[in-house]
Amino acid sequence: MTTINYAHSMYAHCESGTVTGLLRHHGMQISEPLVFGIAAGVCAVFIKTAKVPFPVFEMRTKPGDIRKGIAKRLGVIFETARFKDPRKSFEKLDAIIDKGIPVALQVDMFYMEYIPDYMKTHFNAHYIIAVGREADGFIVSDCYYPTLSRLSTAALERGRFARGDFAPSGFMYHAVSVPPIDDARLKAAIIQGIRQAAFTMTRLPIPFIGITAIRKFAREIPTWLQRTRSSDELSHWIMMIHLLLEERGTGGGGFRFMYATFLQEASRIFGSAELLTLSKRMMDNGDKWREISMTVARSGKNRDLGPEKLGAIRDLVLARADEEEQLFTMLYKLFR
Amino acid sequence: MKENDARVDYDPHQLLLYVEKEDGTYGPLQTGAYAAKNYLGDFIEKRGRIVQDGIEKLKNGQTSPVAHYLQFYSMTTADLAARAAVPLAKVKKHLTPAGFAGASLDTLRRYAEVFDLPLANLFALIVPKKDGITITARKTTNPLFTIIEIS
Repeated sequence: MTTINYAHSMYAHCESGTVTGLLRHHGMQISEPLVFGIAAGVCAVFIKTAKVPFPVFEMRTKPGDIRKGIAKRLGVIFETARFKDPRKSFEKLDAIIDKGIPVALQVDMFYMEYIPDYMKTHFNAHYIIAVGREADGFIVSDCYYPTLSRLSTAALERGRFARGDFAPSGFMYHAVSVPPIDDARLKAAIIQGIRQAAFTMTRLPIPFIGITAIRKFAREIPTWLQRTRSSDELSHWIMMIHLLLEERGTGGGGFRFMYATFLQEASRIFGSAELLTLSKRMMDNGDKWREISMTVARSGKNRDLGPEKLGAIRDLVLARADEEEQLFTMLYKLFR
Repeated sequence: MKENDARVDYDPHQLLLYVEKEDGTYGPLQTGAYAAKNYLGDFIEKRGRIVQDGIEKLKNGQTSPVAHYLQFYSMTTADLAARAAVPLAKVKKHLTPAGFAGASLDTLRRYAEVFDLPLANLFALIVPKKDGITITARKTTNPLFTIIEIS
Protein backbone atom coordinates (compact mmCIF):
# COMPACT_ATOMS: atom_id res chain seq x y z
CA MET A 1 0.00 0.00 0.00
CA THR A 2 1.31 3.43 -0.96
CA THR A 3 -0.34 6.82 -0.70
CA ILE A 4 1.33 9.89 -2.19
CA ASN A 5 0.86 13.20 -0.45
CA TYR A 6 -0.79 14.80 -3.49
CA ALA A 7 -2.91 17.94 -3.10
CA HIS A 8 -6.09 17.04 -4.97
CA SER A 9 -7.87 19.95 -6.58
CA MET A 10 -10.73 20.44 -9.01
CA TYR A 11 -9.88 21.87 -12.41
CA ALA A 12 -12.03 22.96 -15.35
CA HIS A 13 -10.69 20.43 -17.80
CA CYS A 14 -9.14 16.98 -17.36
CA GLU A 15 -6.03 17.36 -19.50
CA SER A 16 -4.99 20.88 -18.52
CA GLY A 17 -5.95 19.99 -14.93
CA THR A 18 -3.84 16.85 -14.91
CA VAL A 19 -0.79 18.63 -16.30
CA THR A 20 -1.28 21.53 -13.84
CA GLY A 21 -1.67 19.11 -10.93
CA LEU A 22 1.57 17.30 -11.79
CA LEU A 23 3.52 20.56 -12.25
CA ARG A 24 2.25 21.95 -8.96
CA HIS A 25 3.12 18.71 -7.19
CA HIS A 26 6.69 19.17 -8.42
CA GLY A 27 6.84 22.72 -7.13
CA MET A 28 5.97 24.83 -10.18
CA GLN A 29 3.40 27.41 -9.08
CA ILE A 30 1.38 27.71 -12.26
CA SER A 31 -2.33 28.11 -12.85
CA GLU A 32 -4.50 25.93 -15.10
CA PRO A 33 -5.32 28.87 -17.44
CA LEU A 34 -1.58 29.54 -17.94
CA VAL A 35 -1.00 25.88 -18.76
CA PHE A 36 -3.96 25.93 -21.14
CA GLY A 37 -2.88 29.15 -22.85
CA ILE A 38 0.82 28.37 -23.15
CA ALA A 39 -0.04 25.01 -24.70
CA ALA A 40 -2.45 26.74 -27.13
CA GLY A 41 -5.29 24.54 -25.91
CA VAL A 42 -8.07 26.76 -27.21
CA CYS A 43 -9.50 25.65 -30.53
CA ALA A 44 -12.67 24.73 -32.44
CA VAL A 45 -13.04 21.34 -34.09
CA PHE A 46 -16.03 19.89 -35.88
CA ILE A 47 -16.16 16.08 -36.07
CA LYS A 48 -18.67 14.14 -38.12
CA THR A 49 -17.83 10.47 -38.65
CA ALA A 50 -19.62 7.12 -38.60
CA LYS A 51 -18.18 6.44 -35.15
CA VAL A 52 -19.97 9.34 -33.48
CA PRO A 53 -23.75 9.03 -33.38
CA PHE A 54 -24.23 12.79 -33.46
CA PRO A 55 -21.89 15.48 -34.91
CA VAL A 56 -19.45 16.65 -32.25
CA PHE A 57 -18.18 20.18 -31.83
CA GLU A 58 -15.07 20.43 -29.65
CA MET A 59 -13.63 23.68 -28.39
CA ARG A 60 -10.14 22.44 -27.58
CA THR A 61 -7.11 20.93 -29.29
CA LYS A 62 -6.69 17.19 -29.60
CA PRO A 63 -5.89 15.07 -26.52
CA GLY A 64 -2.20 15.05 -25.65
CA ASP A 65 -1.42 18.45 -27.17
CA ILE A 66 -1.48 20.30 -23.86
CA ARG A 67 1.16 18.03 -22.31
CA LYS A 68 3.30 18.28 -25.44
CA GLY A 69 2.95 22.07 -25.61
CA ILE A 70 4.01 22.48 -21.99
CA ALA A 71 6.96 20.14 -22.42
CA LYS A 72 8.12 22.07 -25.47
CA ARG A 73 7.63 25.60 -24.16
CA LEU A 74 8.51 25.27 -20.48
CA GLY A 75 11.22 22.62 -20.79
CA VAL A 76 9.39 20.13 -18.59
CA ILE A 77 10.37 16.53 -19.23
CA PHE A 78 7.58 13.98 -19.02
CA GLU A 79 8.33 10.29 -19.25
CA THR A 80 5.61 8.66 -21.31
CA ALA A 81 4.82 5.00 -21.96
CA ARG A 82 2.33 2.90 -23.90
CA PHE A 83 1.80 -0.81 -23.44
CA LYS A 84 0.37 -3.83 -25.17
CA ASP A 85 0.53 -5.99 -22.07
CA PRO A 86 -1.65 -4.80 -19.15
CA ARG A 87 0.45 -6.78 -16.65
CA LYS A 88 3.63 -4.91 -17.62
CA SER A 89 1.81 -1.58 -17.53
CA PHE A 90 0.63 -2.19 -13.98
CA GLU A 91 4.07 -3.33 -12.86
CA LYS A 92 5.48 -0.06 -14.17
CA LEU A 93 2.65 1.96 -12.63
CA ASP A 94 3.13 0.29 -9.22
CA ALA A 95 6.87 0.92 -9.34
CA ILE A 96 6.48 4.66 -10.03
CA ILE A 97 3.79 5.11 -7.38
CA ASP A 98 5.99 3.28 -4.87
CA LYS A 99 8.67 5.92 -5.53
CA GLY A 100 6.13 8.55 -4.44
CA ILE A 101 5.56 9.99 -7.92
CA PRO A 102 1.99 10.70 -9.10
CA VAL A 103 1.25 9.25 -12.54
CA ALA A 104 -1.19 10.59 -15.13
CA LEU A 105 -3.23 7.92 -16.90
CA GLN A 106 -5.32 8.06 -20.05
CA VAL A 107 -8.55 6.14 -19.58
CA ASP A 108 -11.97 5.47 -21.05
CA MET A 109 -14.24 7.46 -18.73
CA PHE A 110 -16.97 4.79 -19.05
CA TYR A 111 -15.22 2.38 -16.67
CA MET A 112 -14.52 4.83 -13.87
CA GLU A 113 -16.57 3.35 -11.04
CA TYR A 114 -17.01 6.62 -9.17
CA ILE A 115 -18.92 8.45 -11.90
CA PRO A 116 -22.73 8.51 -11.70
CA ASP A 117 -24.65 6.20 -14.06
CA TYR A 118 -26.07 9.03 -16.16
CA MET A 119 -22.54 10.19 -16.97
CA LYS A 120 -21.48 6.78 -18.28
CA THR A 121 -20.32 7.26 -21.83
CA HIS A 122 -17.36 5.90 -23.76
CA PHE A 123 -14.68 8.56 -24.08
CA ASN A 124 -11.13 7.27 -24.45
CA ALA A 125 -9.24 10.49 -23.83
CA HIS A 126 -10.03 11.19 -20.20
CA TYR A 127 -7.09 11.85 -17.87
CA ILE A 128 -6.75 11.03 -14.19
CA ILE A 129 -3.79 10.88 -11.81
CA ALA A 130 -2.95 7.75 -9.80
CA VAL A 131 -1.81 8.92 -6.37
CA GLY A 132 -1.83 5.71 -4.40
CA ARG A 133 -2.37 1.99 -4.52
CA GLU A 134 -4.09 -0.46 -2.24
CA ALA A 135 -4.45 -4.23 -2.10
CA ASP A 136 -7.23 -4.37 -4.69
CA GLY A 137 -7.16 -1.02 -6.42
CA PHE A 138 -5.89 2.52 -6.77
CA ILE A 139 -6.52 5.95 -5.32
CA VAL A 140 -6.99 8.40 -8.14
CA SER A 141 -7.35 12.14 -8.50
CA ASP A 142 -9.99 12.97 -11.12
CA CYS A 143 -10.11 16.75 -11.33
CA TYR A 144 -13.82 16.72 -12.23
CA TYR A 145 -14.66 15.52 -8.72
CA PRO A 146 -14.23 17.33 -5.41
CA THR A 147 -12.46 14.45 -3.62
CA LEU A 148 -10.03 11.64 -4.34
CA SER A 149 -11.68 8.46 -5.66
CA ARG A 150 -11.06 4.73 -5.40
CA LEU A 151 -10.92 2.49 -8.40
CA SER A 152 -10.60 -1.30 -8.58
CA THR A 153 -7.67 -2.70 -10.54
CA ALA A 154 -10.10 -4.48 -12.90
CA ALA A 155 -11.96 -1.25 -13.73
CA LEU A 156 -8.72 0.66 -14.24
CA GLU A 157 -7.42 -2.07 -16.53
CA ARG A 158 -10.60 -1.94 -18.63
CA GLY A 159 -10.36 1.86 -18.77
CA ARG A 160 -6.67 1.86 -19.72
CA PHE A 161 -6.99 -0.80 -22.39
CA ALA A 162 -10.30 0.12 -24.03
CA ARG A 163 -10.31 -0.09 -27.82
CA GLY A 164 -11.72 2.43 -30.34
CA ASP A 165 -10.74 5.97 -31.34
CA PHE A 166 -7.98 7.47 -29.17
CA ALA A 167 -7.48 4.02 -27.59
CA PRO A 168 -5.38 4.67 -24.46
CA SER A 169 -3.16 1.54 -24.90
CA GLY A 170 -2.18 1.89 -21.25
CA PHE A 171 -0.77 5.37 -21.90
CA MET A 172 0.74 6.98 -18.81
CA TYR A 173 3.14 9.77 -18.04
CA HIS A 174 4.84 11.46 -15.13
CA ALA A 175 7.11 14.44 -14.71
CA VAL A 176 10.81 13.64 -14.36
CA SER A 177 12.18 17.19 -14.61
CA VAL A 178 10.33 20.40 -13.82
CA PRO A 179 12.76 23.30 -14.17
CA PRO A 180 12.12 26.66 -12.50
CA ILE A 181 10.70 29.17 -14.97
CA ASP A 182 12.14 32.64 -15.15
CA ASP A 183 10.32 35.70 -16.43
CA ALA A 184 11.89 35.63 -19.89
CA ARG A 185 11.01 31.97 -20.50
CA LEU A 186 7.46 32.49 -19.26
CA LYS A 187 6.96 35.48 -21.56
CA ALA A 188 8.37 33.62 -24.55
CA ALA A 189 6.11 30.63 -23.80
CA ILE A 190 3.02 32.85 -23.58
CA ILE A 191 3.82 34.52 -26.89
CA GLN A 192 4.36 31.18 -28.61
CA GLY A 193 1.11 29.83 -27.14
CA ILE A 194 -0.94 32.82 -28.28
CA ARG A 195 0.65 32.82 -31.70
CA GLN A 196 -0.08 29.13 -32.23
CA ALA A 197 -3.69 29.38 -31.03
CA ALA A 198 -4.37 32.43 -33.19
CA PHE A 199 -2.81 30.75 -36.22
CA THR A 200 -4.83 27.56 -35.71
CA MET A 201 -8.06 29.49 -35.28
CA THR A 202 -7.70 31.87 -38.20
CA ARG A 203 -5.15 30.62 -40.69
CA LEU A 204 -4.89 26.85 -40.60
CA PRO A 205 -6.19 25.67 -43.99
CA ILE A 206 -8.14 22.68 -42.63
CA PRO A 207 -11.92 23.05 -42.97
CA PHE A 208 -12.89 21.26 -39.75
CA ILE A 209 -10.53 23.22 -37.48
CA GLY A 210 -10.73 26.86 -36.36
CA ILE A 211 -13.20 29.55 -37.40
CA THR A 212 -14.23 27.57 -40.51
CA ALA A 213 -15.17 24.68 -38.21
CA ILE A 214 -17.46 26.95 -36.16
CA ARG A 215 -19.19 28.05 -39.37
CA LYS A 216 -19.43 24.47 -40.63
CA PHE A 217 -20.95 23.41 -37.31
CA ALA A 218 -23.42 26.32 -37.43
CA ARG A 219 -24.62 25.38 -40.91
CA GLU A 220 -25.22 21.81 -39.76
CA ILE A 221 -27.55 22.80 -36.94
CA PRO A 222 -30.73 23.05 -39.06
CA THR A 223 -30.15 19.43 -40.19
CA TRP A 224 -30.27 18.04 -36.65
CA LEU A 225 -33.93 17.06 -36.96
CA GLN A 226 -33.18 14.87 -39.98
CA ARG A 227 -30.53 13.00 -37.99
CA THR A 228 -32.97 11.69 -35.40
CA ARG A 229 -36.24 9.78 -35.46
CA SER A 230 -38.19 12.16 -33.24
CA SER A 231 -37.94 15.44 -31.37
CA ASP A 232 -37.79 13.32 -28.17
CA GLU A 233 -34.65 11.61 -29.45
CA LEU A 234 -33.12 14.89 -30.63
CA SER A 235 -33.92 16.42 -27.29
CA HIS A 236 -32.27 13.43 -25.56
CA TRP A 237 -29.13 13.85 -27.68
CA ILE A 238 -28.89 17.54 -27.02
CA MET A 239 -29.24 17.05 -23.29
CA MET A 240 -26.70 14.27 -23.26
CA ILE A 241 -24.14 16.38 -25.06
CA HIS A 242 -24.94 19.25 -22.75
CA LEU A 243 -24.66 17.29 -19.52
CA LEU A 244 -21.69 15.15 -20.47
CA LEU A 245 -19.56 17.62 -22.33
CA GLU A 246 -20.54 21.19 -21.73
CA GLU A 247 -21.14 21.07 -18.03
CA ARG A 248 -17.73 19.52 -17.57
CA GLY A 249 -16.15 22.77 -18.64
CA THR A 250 -15.11 21.36 -21.98
CA GLY A 251 -17.66 23.22 -24.01
CA GLY A 252 -20.20 25.98 -23.83
CA GLY A 253 -18.27 28.90 -22.50
CA GLY A 254 -15.91 26.87 -20.27
CA PHE A 255 -12.83 26.95 -22.46
CA ARG A 256 -13.38 30.55 -23.45
CA PHE A 257 -13.66 31.56 -19.77
CA MET A 258 -10.39 29.77 -19.12
CA TYR A 259 -8.73 31.43 -22.11
CA ALA A 260 -9.97 34.85 -20.98
CA THR A 261 -8.40 34.17 -17.57
CA PHE A 262 -5.16 33.22 -19.34
CA LEU A 263 -5.21 36.47 -21.33
CA GLN A 264 -5.80 38.48 -18.17
CA GLU A 265 -2.83 36.76 -16.47
CA ALA A 266 -0.76 37.42 -19.60
CA SER A 267 -1.79 41.09 -19.57
CA ARG A 268 -0.45 41.39 -16.00
CA ILE A 269 2.81 39.65 -16.91
CA PHE A 270 3.36 41.88 -19.96
CA GLY A 271 1.71 45.00 -18.52
CA SER A 272 -0.36 45.07 -21.71
CA ALA A 273 -3.59 47.08 -21.91
CA GLU A 274 -4.38 45.48 -25.27
CA LEU A 275 -4.29 41.98 -23.80
CA LEU A 276 -6.49 43.15 -20.94
CA THR A 277 -9.08 44.47 -23.39
CA LEU A 278 -8.96 41.23 -25.36
CA SER A 279 -9.37 39.21 -22.17
CA LYS A 280 -12.57 41.13 -21.42
CA ARG A 281 -13.87 40.52 -24.92
CA MET A 282 -12.98 36.83 -24.60
CA MET A 283 -14.92 36.64 -21.32
CA ASP A 284 -17.96 38.27 -23.01
CA ASN A 285 -17.53 35.82 -25.87
CA GLY A 286 -17.60 32.96 -23.34
CA ASP A 287 -20.83 34.37 -21.89
CA LYS A 288 -22.39 34.33 -25.36
CA TRP A 289 -21.29 30.71 -25.91
CA ARG A 290 -22.84 29.80 -22.59
CA GLU A 291 -26.07 31.56 -23.57
CA ILE A 292 -26.19 29.47 -26.75
CA SER A 293 -25.59 26.36 -24.71
CA MET A 294 -28.39 27.24 -22.29
CA THR A 295 -30.76 28.18 -25.13
CA VAL A 296 -30.17 24.77 -26.71
CA ALA A 297 -30.70 23.00 -23.38
CA ARG A 298 -33.92 24.93 -22.72
CA SER A 299 -35.20 24.23 -26.22
CA GLY A 300 -34.36 20.56 -25.76
CA LYS A 301 -36.30 20.37 -22.52
CA ASN A 302 -39.30 22.16 -24.01
CA ARG A 303 -39.12 20.13 -27.29
CA ASP A 304 -38.91 23.50 -29.02
CA LEU A 305 -36.63 22.30 -31.79
CA GLY A 306 -38.44 23.27 -34.96
CA PRO A 307 -36.70 24.70 -38.05
CA GLU A 308 -37.15 28.27 -36.83
CA LYS A 309 -35.49 27.63 -33.48
CA LEU A 310 -32.65 25.66 -35.06
CA GLY A 311 -32.17 28.47 -37.58
CA ALA A 312 -31.96 31.00 -34.74
CA ILE A 313 -29.36 28.86 -32.94
CA ARG A 314 -27.35 28.65 -36.19
CA ASP A 315 -27.32 32.45 -36.40
CA LEU A 316 -26.12 32.77 -32.82
CA VAL A 317 -23.23 30.38 -33.52
CA LEU A 318 -22.33 32.24 -36.73
CA ALA A 319 -22.14 35.45 -34.69
CA ARG A 320 -19.62 33.71 -32.39
CA ALA A 321 -17.55 32.72 -35.42
CA ASP A 322 -17.42 36.37 -36.50
CA GLU A 323 -16.42 37.56 -33.04
CA GLU A 324 -13.75 34.86 -32.60
CA GLU A 325 -12.35 35.62 -36.03
CA GLN A 326 -11.85 39.23 -34.93
CA LEU A 327 -10.43 38.29 -31.53
CA PHE A 328 -7.91 35.75 -32.77
CA THR A 329 -6.89 37.97 -35.70
CA MET A 330 -6.10 40.75 -33.21
CA LEU A 331 -4.14 38.32 -31.05
CA TYR A 332 -2.23 37.11 -34.11
CA LYS A 333 -1.31 40.66 -35.08
CA LEU A 334 -0.31 41.53 -31.52
CA PHE A 335 2.46 38.92 -31.44
CA ARG A 336 3.27 38.57 -35.13
CA MET B 1 -19.23 35.40 -16.44
CA LYS B 2 -19.79 37.15 -13.14
CA GLU B 3 -19.16 35.09 -10.04
CA ASN B 4 -22.68 35.59 -8.71
CA ASP B 5 -24.27 34.49 -11.99
CA ALA B 6 -22.16 31.35 -12.06
CA ARG B 7 -22.87 30.22 -8.51
CA VAL B 8 -25.33 27.31 -8.41
CA ASP B 9 -26.32 25.43 -5.28
CA TYR B 10 -26.19 21.78 -6.38
CA ASP B 11 -23.90 19.42 -4.48
CA PRO B 12 -24.35 16.18 -6.50
CA HIS B 13 -22.72 17.62 -9.62
CA GLN B 14 -19.90 20.05 -8.96
CA LEU B 15 -17.66 21.69 -11.52
CA LEU B 16 -15.04 24.38 -11.78
CA LEU B 17 -15.54 27.49 -13.89
CA TYR B 18 -13.34 30.54 -14.43
CA VAL B 19 -15.38 33.61 -13.57
CA GLU B 20 -15.10 37.33 -13.07
CA LYS B 21 -14.69 38.11 -9.37
CA GLU B 22 -16.08 41.23 -7.72
CA ASP B 23 -12.73 43.03 -8.04
CA GLY B 24 -12.66 42.43 -11.81
CA THR B 25 -10.05 39.67 -11.73
CA TYR B 26 -10.77 36.29 -13.30
CA GLY B 27 -10.29 33.13 -11.29
CA PRO B 28 -11.66 29.68 -10.45
CA LEU B 29 -15.03 29.03 -8.82
CA GLN B 30 -16.19 25.61 -7.68
CA THR B 31 -19.94 25.51 -8.08
CA GLY B 32 -22.90 23.27 -8.81
CA ALA B 33 -23.71 22.52 -12.45
CA TYR B 34 -26.57 24.63 -13.76
CA ALA B 35 -27.68 22.16 -16.42
CA ALA B 36 -27.54 19.15 -14.09
CA LYS B 37 -29.59 21.02 -11.51
CA ASN B 38 -32.23 22.20 -13.97
CA TYR B 39 -32.37 19.56 -16.68
CA LEU B 40 -31.13 16.26 -15.25
CA GLY B 41 -34.62 15.09 -14.19
CA ASP B 42 -35.99 15.68 -17.68
CA PHE B 43 -32.96 13.97 -19.22
CA ILE B 44 -33.39 10.87 -17.04
CA GLU B 45 -37.14 10.77 -17.73
CA LYS B 46 -36.58 10.96 -21.50
CA ARG B 47 -33.85 8.37 -21.36
CA GLY B 48 -36.17 6.14 -19.32
CA ARG B 49 -38.82 6.36 -22.04
CA ILE B 50 -36.32 5.46 -24.76
CA VAL B 51 -35.06 2.53 -22.66
CA GLN B 52 -38.61 1.32 -21.91
CA ASP B 53 -39.37 1.44 -25.61
CA GLY B 54 -36.24 -0.64 -26.23
CA ILE B 55 -37.28 -3.22 -23.62
CA GLU B 56 -40.70 -3.58 -25.26
CA LYS B 57 -39.00 -4.23 -28.60
CA LEU B 58 -36.75 -6.79 -26.91
CA LYS B 59 -39.73 -8.57 -25.35
CA ASN B 60 -41.54 -8.67 -28.68
CA GLY B 61 -38.54 -10.08 -30.48
CA GLN B 62 -38.18 -7.00 -32.69
CA THR B 63 -34.63 -6.27 -31.66
CA SER B 64 -31.61 -7.93 -30.05
CA PRO B 65 -29.96 -7.19 -26.68
CA VAL B 66 -26.97 -5.80 -28.57
CA ALA B 67 -29.19 -3.24 -30.30
CA HIS B 68 -30.83 -2.42 -26.98
CA TYR B 69 -27.59 -1.71 -25.11
CA LEU B 70 -26.20 0.12 -28.12
CA GLN B 71 -29.07 2.56 -27.80
CA PHE B 72 -28.88 2.57 -24.00
CA TYR B 73 -25.28 3.77 -24.10
CA SER B 74 -25.79 6.01 -27.16
CA MET B 75 -23.18 4.24 -29.24
CA THR B 76 -22.91 3.61 -32.97
CA THR B 77 -22.35 0.24 -34.59
CA ALA B 78 -18.96 1.47 -35.89
CA ASP B 79 -17.87 2.41 -32.37
CA LEU B 80 -19.04 -0.92 -30.93
CA ALA B 81 -17.24 -2.79 -33.71
CA ALA B 82 -13.99 -0.95 -32.98
CA ARG B 83 -14.27 -1.38 -29.20
CA ALA B 84 -15.24 -5.04 -29.28
CA ALA B 85 -12.84 -5.83 -32.16
CA VAL B 86 -15.70 -7.44 -34.08
CA PRO B 87 -16.19 -6.78 -37.83
CA LEU B 88 -18.80 -4.10 -38.50
CA ALA B 89 -20.84 -6.43 -40.73
CA LYS B 90 -21.08 -8.91 -37.86
CA VAL B 91 -22.18 -6.22 -35.40
CA LYS B 92 -24.92 -5.15 -37.78
CA LYS B 93 -26.01 -8.78 -38.12
CA HIS B 94 -26.19 -9.14 -34.34
CA LEU B 95 -28.66 -6.27 -34.05
CA THR B 96 -31.49 -8.60 -35.08
CA PRO B 97 -32.75 -11.46 -32.86
CA ALA B 98 -31.95 -14.01 -35.57
CA GLY B 99 -28.42 -12.68 -36.04
CA PHE B 100 -27.90 -12.49 -32.28
CA ALA B 101 -28.87 -16.18 -31.96
CA GLY B 102 -25.96 -17.05 -34.22
CA ALA B 103 -23.35 -15.00 -32.36
CA SER B 104 -20.52 -16.91 -30.72
CA LEU B 105 -20.02 -16.85 -26.98
CA ASP B 106 -16.69 -15.11 -27.42
CA THR B 107 -18.28 -12.31 -29.48
CA LEU B 108 -21.02 -11.84 -26.88
CA ARG B 109 -18.39 -11.70 -24.14
CA ARG B 110 -16.67 -8.91 -26.07
CA TYR B 111 -19.92 -6.96 -26.32
CA ALA B 112 -20.56 -7.45 -22.60
CA GLU B 113 -17.08 -6.05 -21.85
CA VAL B 114 -17.79 -2.91 -23.88
CA PHE B 115 -21.16 -2.43 -22.16
CA ASP B 116 -19.48 -3.25 -18.82
CA LEU B 117 -22.12 -5.88 -18.08
CA PRO B 118 -21.97 -9.47 -16.89
CA LEU B 119 -22.52 -11.74 -19.89
CA ALA B 120 -25.76 -13.03 -18.35
CA ASN B 121 -27.31 -9.57 -18.76
CA LEU B 122 -27.39 -10.07 -22.51
CA PHE B 123 -29.93 -12.85 -21.95
CA ALA B 124 -32.06 -11.64 -19.07
CA LEU B 125 -33.47 -8.56 -17.41
CA ILE B 126 -34.07 -9.08 -13.69
CA VAL B 127 -36.61 -6.68 -12.23
CA PRO B 128 -37.58 -6.45 -8.52
CA LYS B 129 -41.32 -6.76 -7.84
CA LYS B 130 -41.14 -4.95 -4.52
CA ASP B 131 -39.69 -1.62 -3.49
CA GLY B 132 -36.55 -1.68 -1.39
CA ILE B 133 -35.06 -4.72 -3.10
CA THR B 134 -31.76 -4.29 -4.82
CA ILE B 135 -30.60 -6.80 -7.40
CA THR B 136 -27.01 -6.69 -8.53
CA ALA B 137 -25.53 -8.85 -11.26
CA ARG B 138 -21.89 -9.18 -10.27
CA LYS B 139 -19.16 -10.17 -12.69
CA THR B 140 -16.67 -12.78 -11.54
CA THR B 141 -13.14 -13.53 -12.71
CA ASN B 142 -14.71 -16.13 -14.97
CA PRO B 143 -16.19 -14.03 -17.82
CA LEU B 144 -18.87 -16.66 -18.48
CA PHE B 145 -20.18 -16.82 -14.92
CA THR B 146 -22.29 -14.20 -13.14
CA ILE B 147 -23.50 -13.99 -9.53
CA ILE B 148 -26.91 -12.40 -8.95
CA GLU B 149 -27.13 -10.80 -5.51
CA ILE B 150 -30.48 -9.86 -3.98
CA SER B 151 -30.51 -7.62 -0.93
